[in-house]
Amino acid sequence: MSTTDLIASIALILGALMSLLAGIAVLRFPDTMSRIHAATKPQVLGIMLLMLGVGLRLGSPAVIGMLVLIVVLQFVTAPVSAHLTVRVAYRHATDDQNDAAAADSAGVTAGARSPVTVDAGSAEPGSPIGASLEAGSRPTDDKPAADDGPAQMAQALAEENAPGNPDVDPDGAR
Amino acid sequence: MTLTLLIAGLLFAGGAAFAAVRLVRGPTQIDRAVALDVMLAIVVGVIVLLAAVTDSSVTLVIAVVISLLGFIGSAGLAKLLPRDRR
Repeated sequence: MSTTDLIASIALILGALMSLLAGIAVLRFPDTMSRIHAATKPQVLGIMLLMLGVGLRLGSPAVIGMLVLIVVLQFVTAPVSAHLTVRVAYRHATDDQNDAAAADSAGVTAGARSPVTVDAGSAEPGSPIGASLEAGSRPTDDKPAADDGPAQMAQALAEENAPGNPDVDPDGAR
Repeated sequence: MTLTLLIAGLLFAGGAAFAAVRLVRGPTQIDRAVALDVMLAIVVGVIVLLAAVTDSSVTLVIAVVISLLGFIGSAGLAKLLPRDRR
């Protein structure tokens, strides 16, 4: 084994080691963005080391041109694809946080509204005096009162969304 | 060169196995896309390693095509994933 073969072997093994490290990192890292960060390493440095090994092993100019083509393509495309993937991951993370905040606020308002309806329902059987005349009217009054909870919620959501869209549109148009 | 093929092949196999575990287990679709990117880089590495060991430059064209297709696949996944989610 000559010296160039030895250097080529070392470069090939280092490139393979880089892909093994990327596999371990993709498996072990806790976050999506850190996984993407680690996954970009064999696509640039590992490919470059492997191409160095192959170029030392087969020395013809056509092969070296093809290897340079692969390395240049990886250098151009790997950061772009990583950037696209990270942007999607970041949007999903922020959307999850917004969804969690919206769910928390909706839960708080529902928790604040539900005791009111429960009190209205408990006050109905709690006042039997005079219920004989108004027994027909009390449930009819109670049903719109019970329906007002979700209806008001829907109206409030619609009112939040309706002024929200003209506010969003100039922000999105800038 | 046989020893190089053995060592580098084992390293590639380990990396591909770990990436496959992440591909199966990934919590989101983005993790699976990242694991597929790593496995595609490993495939390119294996093809290049075989070209180096067997002294033949025929399979290097496959490496060029796979590196281009990997970029197209990753960009397409990044474009199509939000509609899948929400």
